Amino acid sequence: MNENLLLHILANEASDDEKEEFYGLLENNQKEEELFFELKSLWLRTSMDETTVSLDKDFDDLWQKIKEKQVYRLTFAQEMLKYAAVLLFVLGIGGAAGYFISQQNFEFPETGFQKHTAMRGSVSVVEFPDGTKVWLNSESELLYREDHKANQRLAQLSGEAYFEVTHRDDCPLIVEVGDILVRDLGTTFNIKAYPEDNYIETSLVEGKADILTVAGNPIVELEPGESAMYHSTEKKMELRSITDNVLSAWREGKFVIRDQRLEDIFKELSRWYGIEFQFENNELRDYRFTGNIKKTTSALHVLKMLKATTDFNYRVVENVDKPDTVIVY
Amino acid sequence: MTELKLIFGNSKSSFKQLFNNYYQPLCHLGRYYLENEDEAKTVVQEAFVKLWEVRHELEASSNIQNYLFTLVKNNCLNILKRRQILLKHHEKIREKELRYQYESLNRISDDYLEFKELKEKVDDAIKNLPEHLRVVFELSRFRDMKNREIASELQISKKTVEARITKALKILREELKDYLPLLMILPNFLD
Repeated sequence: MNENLLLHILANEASDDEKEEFYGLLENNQKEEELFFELKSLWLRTSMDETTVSLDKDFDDLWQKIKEKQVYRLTFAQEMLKYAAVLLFVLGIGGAAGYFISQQNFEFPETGFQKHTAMRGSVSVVEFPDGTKVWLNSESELLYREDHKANQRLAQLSGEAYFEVTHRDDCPLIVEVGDILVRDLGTTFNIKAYPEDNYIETSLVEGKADILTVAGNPIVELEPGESAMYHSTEKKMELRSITDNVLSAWREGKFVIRDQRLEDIFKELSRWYGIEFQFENNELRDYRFTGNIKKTTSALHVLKMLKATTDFNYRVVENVDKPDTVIVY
Repeated sequence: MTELKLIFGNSKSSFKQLFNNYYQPLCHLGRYYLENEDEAKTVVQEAFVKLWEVRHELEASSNIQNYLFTLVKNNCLNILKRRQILLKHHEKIREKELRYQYESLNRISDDYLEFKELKEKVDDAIKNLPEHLRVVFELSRFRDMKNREIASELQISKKTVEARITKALKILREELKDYLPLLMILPNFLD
């Protein structure tokens, strides 16, 4: 590592040329990268006193904000929450001691489940005797049973489903999905959990819902308008605000892309159209898009639309004995 | 955690006390990664607003440091991510810079409990640097002097100053290598 270069970068005094040289070197060398991350955090630690604040004045500002928010909360709170386009916060599972309220165990019996599925390219609706309604998105599967002994309604989901739950105090509905459980507390919610995605997204439209670990430990209680994204590999939970139309659009036959990575978008497209995608240029996987697309649009048209908004290219390889492949580069 | 019981009582003054403890280091964290003082302040203030709002849900075992830190860290990450998304395609250097900024913040551990002894470790390591390196390092890091200023004060060349700071960093890194991935931002106020 070039030392003067490093120092200029850390002290935020580097010119564009120096930055280009420095980051270029890091990119090709994992060891140097590690070293840089370490030195960067060391620099942070040794520069603690560089930031000066005026405690009294800033506290007054803060207190003002708190008071304004309280007034606003009484009037608009529920409405505005749905529309706030702010990412709220991320909780590491296990790290958020404040959210661990009680301990309970749920057991999922192996038998007695009814199975409901939605085929590729279709949406299906299931209605249960108690009025609970579930929409299933393309290539999703729902197992459901009522456990009279334990007074629970149990569901297991793979894929995406929109639940309108008839709440029964004496018989809560619990959805098991991957590593987590979602428990209704009088609720309309959407869960997205396709096995090939590495996240489970639970969004609350109305009412209340708890998210629990499989062992039954509460992780977070969702408020209407909030969505909890559980990243399965990192075991992290991210909370953010959502808008209603994002959730209902798939039931109306639209793709909704909300600041999603290109790779995730293509996974969704392949679920619907039955085509496969390959990335030749891996950087493209992380490109992000936002937009609504009607599902009746052809796959090629969707690709054209995506292509029009950024610089990637694609070619289609038609296959006889397996799905067509779109190569993205 | 005494602060907790205090804010349970809805008391503004005990909330202020908590603010006094954590506000500056959190602002520093924000400023260091966002490179913008106003944005950093906004993020930190939002975290305190949130803390105030959830004060009744906190339990005696809740870790307020972790909570505030996590809020700030993640909001900063989101801002950095947003900046990356908003970049034009030709801003390649800025893009790389932001990516490294994001990644280095992302690597800072969320858990404070692991860090109890770390402040001392860092201070000790600095104290044990060879004299000529320590002087330069402390002037640079703790008195926030530009390398040029240090050079003229110590009557050595700017190049020498830079070389000594880098040398000091390397020694520190070696000394602290077991702790660096967990390097702590906040001092341990609760001790």
